[in-house]
Amino acid sequence: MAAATVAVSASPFRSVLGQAPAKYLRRNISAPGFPAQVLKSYGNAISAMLKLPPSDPRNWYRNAFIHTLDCPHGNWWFPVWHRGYLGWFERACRDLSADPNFALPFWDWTAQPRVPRQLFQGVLNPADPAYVSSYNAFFAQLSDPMSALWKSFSADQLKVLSLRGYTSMSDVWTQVQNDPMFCPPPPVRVLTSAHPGFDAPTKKAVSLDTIQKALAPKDYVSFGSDMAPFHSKSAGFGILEGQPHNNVHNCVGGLMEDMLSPIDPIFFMHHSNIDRLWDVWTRKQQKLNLPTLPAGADLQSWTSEPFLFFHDEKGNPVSQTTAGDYAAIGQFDYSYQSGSGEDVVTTATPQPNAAPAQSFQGGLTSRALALGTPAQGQVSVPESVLQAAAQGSAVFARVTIQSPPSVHGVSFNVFVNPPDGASGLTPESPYYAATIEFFGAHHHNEPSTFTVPISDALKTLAAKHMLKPNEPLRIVVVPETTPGLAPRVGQAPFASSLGGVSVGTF
Amino acid sequence: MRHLRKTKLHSVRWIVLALLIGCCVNSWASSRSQAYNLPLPRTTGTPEELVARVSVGPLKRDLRIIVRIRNGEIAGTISPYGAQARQGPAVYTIPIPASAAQGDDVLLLVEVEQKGAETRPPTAQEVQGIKLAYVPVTQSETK
Repeated sequence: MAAATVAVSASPFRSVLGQAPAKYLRRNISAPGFPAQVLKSYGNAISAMLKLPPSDPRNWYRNAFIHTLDCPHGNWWFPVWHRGYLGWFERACRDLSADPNFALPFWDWTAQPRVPRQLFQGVLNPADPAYVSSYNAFFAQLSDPMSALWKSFSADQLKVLSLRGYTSMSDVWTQVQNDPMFCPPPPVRVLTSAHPGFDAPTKKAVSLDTIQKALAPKDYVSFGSDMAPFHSKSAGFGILEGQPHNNVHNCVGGLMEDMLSPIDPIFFMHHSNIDRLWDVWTRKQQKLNLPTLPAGADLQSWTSEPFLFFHDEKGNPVSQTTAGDYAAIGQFDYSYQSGSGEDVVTTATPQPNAAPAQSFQGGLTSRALALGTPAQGQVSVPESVLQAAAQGSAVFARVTIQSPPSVHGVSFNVFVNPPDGASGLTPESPYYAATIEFFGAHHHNEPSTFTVPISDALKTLAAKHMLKPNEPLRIVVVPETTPGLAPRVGQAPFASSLGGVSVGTF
Repeated sequence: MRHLRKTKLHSVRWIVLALLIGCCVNSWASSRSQAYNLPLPRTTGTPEELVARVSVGPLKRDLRIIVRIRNGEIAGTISPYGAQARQGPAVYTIPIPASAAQGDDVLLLVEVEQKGAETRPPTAQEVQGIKLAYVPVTQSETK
């Protein structure tokens, strides 16, 4: 927590902690008394952006391309990248609408599981004649400006794009063309003014029950989707992203189903609500004195991720170019009107006798992993943590494994403090903690971090007087063939390495 | 006594009806969905929430995976957003209600819904595996 606070304070943006009342208020579009001026200004800004030449970065379609080129999905940068994207867009709207008080409204789909009626009017509806209506017209307008933009990219920007699979602008067009989103068919939206309501699966995805579960995790990674090596890598979806976020995109349908979805003005109201829920979760965590950002060594990986494609309200590149710059609402200076899920802040209760989450980074004493060759790390842990585990508190080990391209048929047993040189360790031994299996996809070539419970092993070892308070814990990882899963024919002999270990209550 | 007998007969009728409905539901479930009977990872600590981690491969456009619990209630829906996400693979977290557990197991019914087509079970490529896990959570006064 201390590390998190330092990192956020070091950014040019103001910390969430102790912030003064915000200058701008993002309001619920469906709340009684919602000012008509907000949508009038939003419409004025959209009209202005639609009229700007495609060579201007603030052009409506150019702004949508930022999302196509750089948005993270299925990883822990999902909330923070979209905060930056919306924040700069909101400033552009303020500038181009000449409304100095403009703030993006949010669509509280939990309270209103249907497209708000106002979003079918004028330029708030992407079926309006002010919008390009065919892929060919779109390509004709944007092709040259996007090629010019591509040529202007720095080496760092090109590196980020290559990680996404884009080695040229034609790669981007191929993706856009392969998912044609312009009518007819399909329509610009599947939901219509006559049938604006969500279907049953989407209603469940936005229900208060699901939202409360999305807001319940006590650590950032469980809340904000899975860790990944870079932000264009899809690793795993937390409840917030995988349920309300994805399902609303696809239920609204049409333009909203793909990466140019910011062409539909409803995108920004949808994501304003996602950002609001991140703010709700953050305030809940602050109330309980729990971390609001990734903890321990993970924080540096998270904050230093480059976001290189945002521009300000004048179309100039911004100087805030890392995820850490957007960890707090900061200089965007907005707050939210209350909405669904707010109760988790007001009703949050500290766990009785709960200690704040702790994490202890270990060192590696052997890295190479092969069948018959275990690897191990050592972690110095305070005695209080061992005592807490012996009394039933949850203690975990985080194990990072650098995997070869294929791990089919191989699993990894994790042991705590086994005797030196012990062979034939099995899950029946008192040192056994857990088994790690690479799951689903069998093609991994990046480090993967797994969190495994070690409380039971610590409890057993403590009962047998096999834990010495002043000695570091040894976490030993032993690869073995998975019972019933033989390595594939032609598969190279398994070889990998241990990338890191830590122990904590997380 | 007559009243008691009548009540018993009434109960028997309800049991038979329930069994018939159960057979129909099972039959429907087996043809339209894939059943996953998953062991609970361990005894839950508190406070934790049970989730299913569903590993999904490439999914065609207009296709989504619906995860239901034993009584047919939707637990969550996997609806990949964007062309890249549809190419998979990725893992999706689905919240599982505590009521879904029976003994040491959780039964999940997984179906694939596609516009203009009948609901069907997922292929082994579409759903590559499901595991249950616990997520440490905070507590609130209402829980």
